Amino acid sequence: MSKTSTISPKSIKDISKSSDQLAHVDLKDLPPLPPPYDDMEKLPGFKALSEEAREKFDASLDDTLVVSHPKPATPEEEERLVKGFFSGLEKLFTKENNWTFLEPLTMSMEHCAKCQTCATDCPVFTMSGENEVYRPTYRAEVMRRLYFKHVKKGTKVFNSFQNGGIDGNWTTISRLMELAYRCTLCRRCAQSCPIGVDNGLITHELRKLFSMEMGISPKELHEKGTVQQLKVGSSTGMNPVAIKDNVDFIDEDMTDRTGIKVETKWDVEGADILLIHNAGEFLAWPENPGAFALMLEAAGVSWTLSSDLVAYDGVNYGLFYDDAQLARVAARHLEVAKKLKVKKIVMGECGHEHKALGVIADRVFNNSIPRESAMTLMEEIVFSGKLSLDPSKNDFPVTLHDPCNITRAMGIVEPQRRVLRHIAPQFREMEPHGTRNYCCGGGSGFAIMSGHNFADWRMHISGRMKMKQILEAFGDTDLYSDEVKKYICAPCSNCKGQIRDLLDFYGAKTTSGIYYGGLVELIVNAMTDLSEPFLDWDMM
Amino acid sequence: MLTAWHVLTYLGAALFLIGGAVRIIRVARMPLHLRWELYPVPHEKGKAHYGGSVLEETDWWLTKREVDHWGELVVMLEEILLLKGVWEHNRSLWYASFPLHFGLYLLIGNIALLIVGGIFELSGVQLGVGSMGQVFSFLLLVVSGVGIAGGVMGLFGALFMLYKRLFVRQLRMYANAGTYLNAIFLGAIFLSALVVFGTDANAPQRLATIYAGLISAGNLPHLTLAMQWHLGICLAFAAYLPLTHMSHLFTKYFMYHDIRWEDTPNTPGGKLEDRIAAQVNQKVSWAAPHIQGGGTKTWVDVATSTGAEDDK
Repeated sequence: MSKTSTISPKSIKDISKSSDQLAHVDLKDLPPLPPPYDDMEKLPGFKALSEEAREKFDASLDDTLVVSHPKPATPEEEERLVKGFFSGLEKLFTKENNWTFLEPLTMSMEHCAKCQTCATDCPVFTMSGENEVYRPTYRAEVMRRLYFKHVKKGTKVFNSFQNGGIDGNWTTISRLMELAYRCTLCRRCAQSCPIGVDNGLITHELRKLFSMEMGISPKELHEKGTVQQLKVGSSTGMNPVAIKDNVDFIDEDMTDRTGIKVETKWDVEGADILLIHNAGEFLAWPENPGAFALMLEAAGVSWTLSSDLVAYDGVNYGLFYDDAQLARVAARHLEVAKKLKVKKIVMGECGHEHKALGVIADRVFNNSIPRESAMTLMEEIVFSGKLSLDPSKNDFPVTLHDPCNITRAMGIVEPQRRVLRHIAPQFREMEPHGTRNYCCGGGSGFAIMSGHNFADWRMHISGRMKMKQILEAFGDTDLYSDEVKKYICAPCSNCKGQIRDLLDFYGAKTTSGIYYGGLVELIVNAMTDLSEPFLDWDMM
Repeated sequence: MLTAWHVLTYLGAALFLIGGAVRIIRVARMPLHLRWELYPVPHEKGKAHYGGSVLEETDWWLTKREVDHWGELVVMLEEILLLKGVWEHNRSLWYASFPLHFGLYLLIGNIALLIVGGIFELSGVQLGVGSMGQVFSFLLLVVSGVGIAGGVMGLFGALFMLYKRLFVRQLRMYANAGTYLNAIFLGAIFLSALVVFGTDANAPQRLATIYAGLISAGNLPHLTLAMQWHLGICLAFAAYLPLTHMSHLFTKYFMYHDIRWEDTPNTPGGKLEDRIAAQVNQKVSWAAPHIQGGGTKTWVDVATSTGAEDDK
């Protein structure tokens, strides 16, 4: 199917009406990026969804697919799915099944004034050219109408009068299923709501309903994510043997590159710190765990990694879609920490690991080992005087991307900045930043999703605001030249994945010399013990 | 002698209070939820101004948790009285929303002043006689001014809001019959207040006498037609409000304190442990293949299994 101009729903009830596509974004209607990325004709396009995919899956929401649920083969199957949805909807509002979020969800359902104050704070909505289907209140309003019609006690006439009606047919439900995966759960909209309504939470709960009642979720999060992690040990597919081999190789490489003996500690009982990385680092950015090992050894910290199943991977995709999976993964992390009798767990450079283990798991298990952020640990080490650092080794433009889960959801804002101000002379902020940052566009698991043409959606729409911010942060440099290397410090694995894809997609590395990495790499790069720079631009 | 106005007033006030209480009790009885705070959290002493938290500290669980209640109060007052969030994120709507809300606050404030006026009446204080009489006279002067100001601001806000709900595309699309009724209802309250206070110089004094009669279940003076309309609309609205999203009047406290700013850590031996232990022992009935709760498994059962064995 090829659409020539933007389509967006004209009413809430349009979601229930059968049509080829409820929404379509025409690239020419997107807000332009700063030069030299302002000519849409010169940028990669948006691949159309294949006819086969449209034939096989429920794909009538927009231009792409995430959940990719097959179309019901029979009316009976369709009816079963609709029943399953409403059964799940009821369970979302019971304390037995959803004590985890019952209060915030109910409050958000019943008090929205529909003032749209949240809308302009949503990077997906604004950078889609304000397509109605991506407005934070659109999916929330559909959900709200279904709640008042099917769950909330009261007279149907009054509820319909107060809250509007909607047809809960399969067209509505299948579109809602996909629409639950067009929001990165960054919760910037919730920050601006004057009443306290949280549309990000409503999206989160919708995802839970589909997963926990109907067993429907993106395979990247479930089968290849939490299920694989619980079974094999990591969502990367690495088992304990593979991870140890991998880290041996990283240690060797670090030793060769730096001339400093690097040896990662495994399963040290009674260590002060159990460090848990996002295991994606070991495969995609091995210099990050390598730099951690180097820094911790140089600072004389008592630390260990765990080779126990699950405990060497801080990933917990359950945070994005399923409370049961969230609890299962977090339980393994906390069990291993207790087994090793460590004083604390330090969460590596991974935003969602921070939130899942740092605050969410806090009320799932009693008497847990305390958790601390790697940002805090790095600040402590940098200012302890245990490392000899030369900031001039980082004398290139550096900006900081704030992972939503670390800043907005946890209030860890300054440690990473104090480090950067200390070791990076040309550090500059993105605007806005800190707790008002914009999501990278890969939040809530999007960074690992590229099925069908979803990567194009991530690049053109959900990641567009971040790309704009990055370019503006380096606006004082020549963006037409790659001569001056510029560094985006993104202390989060998922954010790095998204930023990597953005820079590749827009050709920003070759056009403007924009690179990315974590925070610990910059610290190690500033260490005077290293005769050669740790950052290798050619390899980045 | 009790009149129909006595009965209607007590009924309207009772429905308002009962409706509000039901909302509050319902929320207060909800189970402890997972932490879902959003920063800045204004009670983070010394850190709220940049959005920081105690989680930035090394070994934060060993540091004494300091809660800045004053910081919370300031943010709440800015939000409630000035609608700061709307000002910052939706300026064009603020020009309608602020006068609407502030007009309502003024009229609510006027009710409080008139209750005081009623007590003066019942206490035998005579207007302008003695120092208390001077205070009483001043009070009624304030009532008159606040009533007119509230009516003007509120009516402007309600009409502007109605206009926006009707003609601004993104507001119209999300509006429904109840949205328009609410704006009309509020507009009618402000208009009738304006007629009462703007056209009758004796209205404050007469209203103080009415409040005295209502407080003491005693005789009521004659209510002018405008007063009858105003009182009738206000009472109907008071009974109606708890049934709508406008009940955020009662629940906003919880949405901020219990959710957005709720960051109490679950420390060993702390106050949350018992509640969490009870909650994770509840039975779940989620039906997906990786859970299969069936109303028999507890959350502990689910969390300590992998889910894979359930597929077998």
